[in-house]
Amino acid sequence: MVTLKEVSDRFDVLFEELGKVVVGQNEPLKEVFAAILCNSNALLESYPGLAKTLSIKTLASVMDLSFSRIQSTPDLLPSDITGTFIIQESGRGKEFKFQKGPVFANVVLVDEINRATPKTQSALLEAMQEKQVTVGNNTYKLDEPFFVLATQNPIEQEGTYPLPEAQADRFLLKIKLDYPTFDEEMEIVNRYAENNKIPALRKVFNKGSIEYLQELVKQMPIANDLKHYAVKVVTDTRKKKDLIEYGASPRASIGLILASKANALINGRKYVSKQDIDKMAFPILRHRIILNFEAERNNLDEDEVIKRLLK
Amino acid sequence: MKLIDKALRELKLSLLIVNLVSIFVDSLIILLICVLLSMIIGFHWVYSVVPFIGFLVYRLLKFYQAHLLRKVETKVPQLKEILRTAADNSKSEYEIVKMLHEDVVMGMKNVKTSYFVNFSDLFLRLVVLCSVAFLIVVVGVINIQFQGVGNLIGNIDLPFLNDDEKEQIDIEDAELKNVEGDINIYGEASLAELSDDKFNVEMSPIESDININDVSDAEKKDFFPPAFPREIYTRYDGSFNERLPKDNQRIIKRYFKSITS
Repeated sequence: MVTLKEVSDRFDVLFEELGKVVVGQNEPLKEVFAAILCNSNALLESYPGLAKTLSIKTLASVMDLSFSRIQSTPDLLPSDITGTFIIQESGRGKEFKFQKGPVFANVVLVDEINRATPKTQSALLEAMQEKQVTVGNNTYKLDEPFFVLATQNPIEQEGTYPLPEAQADRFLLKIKLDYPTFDEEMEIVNRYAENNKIPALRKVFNKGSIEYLQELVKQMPIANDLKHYAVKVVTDTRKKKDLIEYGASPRASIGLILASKANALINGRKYVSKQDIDKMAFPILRHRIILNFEAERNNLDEDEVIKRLLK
Repeated sequence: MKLIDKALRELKLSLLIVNLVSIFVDSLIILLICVLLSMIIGFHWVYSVVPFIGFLVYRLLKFYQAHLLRKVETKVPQLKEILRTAADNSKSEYEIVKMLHEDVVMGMKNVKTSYFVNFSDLFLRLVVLCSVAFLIVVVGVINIQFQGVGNLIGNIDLPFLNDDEKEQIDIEDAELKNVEGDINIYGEASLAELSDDKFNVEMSPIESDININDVSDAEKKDFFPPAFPREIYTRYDGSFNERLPKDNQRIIKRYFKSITS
C-alpha cells in the first residue's frame, strides 16, 4: 500500500515536470488531472494560443499514456473519429481490416468540438460514455484509462454546432483557461522565443498507478454533512428560479462529490474539506446551468451565480 | 471494537456529562427564579415547576440536535473536519480511511475535558444560583409580597388545594356575606346623610330597661382553630365578647335599627 505522502510527493513531481513545459496554468491542469482521476472527461474553454494542446500532450507524456488529437471541422465524419474498415492485401488476398481511429488512445484531445456536426459529436460522446466503439457489427473496447478533453472556442461562434446541454452534461468539468499574467508571459517568451528545445520529461505515473489512484479517489472519505452540503448546492440550482432557467441534474451531485474527493487527494489530504466542494462547484456546474434573462440583464455569468449559491 | 470507535465513544460520553451538568445548573437557576417570583406575587410554589420543566425539555432537545463533534472541532483546530469525517466513516475498511482514523486518534489524545468547560461561566452561574437562593430565604423571612398582583388576577381556582380546604374557604366567604339585612360591610350609606339638626338624647336611668350593674368589661374569647379569611395574615388573634345580657343586646339592636330606618 502506497502511503498518502508518497502519492502527494508524486503529484508534486508531476506538476513540477509539467511546469518545465507549460508556464502557469497550474490550476486548470489540476482540474484536468482531477477529471482523469474521476475516470471522466472534461470540457475546456479557452481562447486560441493558450497551450491547450501542449498542456494535455505533456500531461499524457508524463503519465505514460498514449495521446491523440482530433481537429474538429464541419466535414469531420464519425468514422474519422472511431475508425473504419480498410481493404488490406495479405497472403490470403484482400481482406477488410479495421483501422482504429484517433479515439483509440488513452488521452484524446478534441479541438473545437463545437465545429463538428452533431452526428460526429454523438459518435465521440458514445465512445466517452460506453468506453467502446461500435463499427458495423463489431464492438471495440477502448483502452483504459480513457480520457477526452474537448475544447471550445468562446469566440468565432459562426458556423458552429454548440453542444446540446444534455451532451455537455456528460463532461464532468468545464475548465476555463485564462490569459497568463505578465510575468508568466515573459517566461513563455524567454523559453519559446529564445530556446525551442523541450526538456526531457520523467514518467511519473503509468496506467496501473492511474487506475490505482482512480480507486483511491472513490475510497476517499467525506463527512455526511459535507455530502449534504454538496447535494444542497446542486439542488439549489433547480430552486433559484430568479436567476437560473434550468438547474443541474443528479449527475452533477455525483460529479461534485467525486471531483471534491479528487481535489482532496491532489492536495495531499485524507478527507474532503468544504473548500474542495466550493472550489470544484464552479467547473462542475458552469456548463450544467442555464441562466435566464434576469441574470443576463444584470450581466451575471455562470460563475457569479454559482458564487451566490455557495454563500 | 475499533480504536476509533472507542475513542469517539469516550469523547461523546465526556461531552454528554459536561453538557448535562450545564443544562441542569441552568434549569435549577430558572426554577429558583420562578420560585422567587411566585413567592413575591403570591402564587403557589408548585407553579414554578412548569417553566423549569419546559426549559429543561427545550435545552435537552437543543442538545440532542446539536453537532457535538463540530463543537469539538472548534475547540481543537487540528481536528477540524477530520473528526466528523472519521466518525461518519468509522465502519469503512479502506486503507485511506484507516490512515485517517489513526490521525484522528493521535489528535484526540490532545483533547482535554477542560476545553469544553468554561470555568468563568460556570462560576458565574453558581454565583447566580446562590444569590437567588439567598433572595428566596430573605423574601420568605421578611415576607415581601405584592398583594396587588394577586388581587388583580383575581380569585384563581387553585387546583392543588384539597376539597376540605376549598369548603372552609366557601364557608368563610358565606359568613362574610351573611350580615343581617346588610349587604354593604361599610354599613348603610344613608347613615352618612345626617342633617345639621341638633339631636338631643336623654337617657333616664330609672325608666331604662338597661341595668348598668349587669354591664362589665368585655371578656376575651379565644377562637381555636382561627377562623379568618385566607387573605389576612396574622400571627395572633383574639376576640372580645361583650357581657351584655341577651335582652339588652336585643334592645340596643332595635334602637339602632329604628334610628336608621
